[in-house]
Amino acid sequence: MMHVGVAGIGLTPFGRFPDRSLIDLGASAVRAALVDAEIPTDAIGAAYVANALGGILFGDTTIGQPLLRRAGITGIPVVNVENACTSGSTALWLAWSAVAAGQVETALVIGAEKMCVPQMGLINSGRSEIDTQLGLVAPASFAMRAMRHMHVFGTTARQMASVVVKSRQAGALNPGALFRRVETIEGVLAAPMIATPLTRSQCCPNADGAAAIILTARRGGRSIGVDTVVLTSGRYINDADMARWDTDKRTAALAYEKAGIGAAEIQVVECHDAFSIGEILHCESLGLCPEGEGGRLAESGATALGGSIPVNPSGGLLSRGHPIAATSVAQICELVAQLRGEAGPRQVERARVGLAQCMGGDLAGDTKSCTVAVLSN
Amino acid sequence: MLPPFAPDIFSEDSGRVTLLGGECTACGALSFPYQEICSHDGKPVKRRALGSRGRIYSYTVIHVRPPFGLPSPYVIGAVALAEVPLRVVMLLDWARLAATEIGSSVVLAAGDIGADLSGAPCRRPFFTPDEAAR
Repeated sequence: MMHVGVAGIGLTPFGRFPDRSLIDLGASAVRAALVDAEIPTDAIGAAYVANALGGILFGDTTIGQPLLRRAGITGIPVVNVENACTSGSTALWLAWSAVAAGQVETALVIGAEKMCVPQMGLINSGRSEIDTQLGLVAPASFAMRAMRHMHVFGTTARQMASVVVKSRQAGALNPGALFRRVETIEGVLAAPMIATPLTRSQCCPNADGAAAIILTARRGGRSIGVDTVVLTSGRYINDADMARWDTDKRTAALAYEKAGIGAAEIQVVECHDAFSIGEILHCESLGLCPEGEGGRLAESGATALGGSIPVNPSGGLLSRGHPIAATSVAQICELVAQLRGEAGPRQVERARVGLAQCMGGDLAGDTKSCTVAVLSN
Repeated sequence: MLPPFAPDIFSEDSGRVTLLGGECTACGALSFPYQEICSHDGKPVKRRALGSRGRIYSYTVIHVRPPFGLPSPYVIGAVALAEVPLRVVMLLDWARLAATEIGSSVVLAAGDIGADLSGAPCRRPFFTPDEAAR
């Protein structure tokens, strides 16, 4: 297998941009990544373009080719990708596999989303699914996991709120984040209830935005190694434990095995904190703490900047915002900035190894998709 | 009576509401809703009733704009069925929230609740506290 590294990153701010189109946002991220990588457009051998909601919200499908044309790239293989919240990291998985296999030397990965529009409702996992017709909207499954985690492990509302307080502190240091004001535990708990026990502050905000990375087999420069990218789906076992997430743990274990490292070697994490309880569950699944201890880990400050294992120094989905397909590419952008030592006021000291985790969709009480990537410098 | 929100999910017979699903003809794995092929071994699945009673494994109250004209707020739960080893996601009785907690016994009911995929009014099943088990 070829070595695969990230040669360049490009990111738009995440926020509400009524005057910018999906194509415009995506093309901006691509141009920024090309400038960052200091390579010409004709160096790109293939592009993997993720978008989840364009078809539903705008009737715009297969956006990759028009997006790339806007950025000055035509005539190459283009793969359009949709895989819920892991759309971007699934595009990464495809691109990484193509570069590692020697199919292309340099590939572009793009995640672009525009969702701050009036026709946007609550995310669900397929309108015609029976679960959706019985009311299983996106917050519901995480809320039920939270209720179960509180019941089994004694996790408290304050511990879940501490995830948000930590997230806002990081977001305040990120000029590209949607929420940049610090918050208190009391403020988080006093926000309107969305899905018991999750208040609005514990649910990630919709956002518009795009992110792009350039993967290459060429060594040198400021390239950051992508040691592995794994993609799994659920097994949909009917009595799966909702307080311990088998698919999440299985995906993390596979990534550690392929990267040849253990949880103790990870120095910075970007994970799918779509809801406060999500970060708690993922910290446990990734082995950052023992099972059931995720709430106490968050409350201890260990996952904050300056803590023993900073999680979501970008502000994560909770504060940076969650433009669905852009999110898991933006996670990689953040890790690359961290591992280059270019993360500014939110820099994790001497970070050499980082991990990105994402999940997408609900099916039979489990996730549809889960990805983990390990990067190192 | 209004039509059900979807076919083959539940039956109503003189007030008794029963959940419908499937059982693998080879490995015996249960499924809800029914699907023709077993998720575990790819073998054919036969239809079977899954009973009417269970215990709440977890639940949440949804306070945001409900889909399909569901009540606001509405309650959804993961219910471990009593008669078969299977857990299902189902609406819970939003009018009986005070009696809703993890571990409590519930029994299936049905009512005219919201609209179906085409927007037509329909019946949906929901679990309500099981007075007989209290």
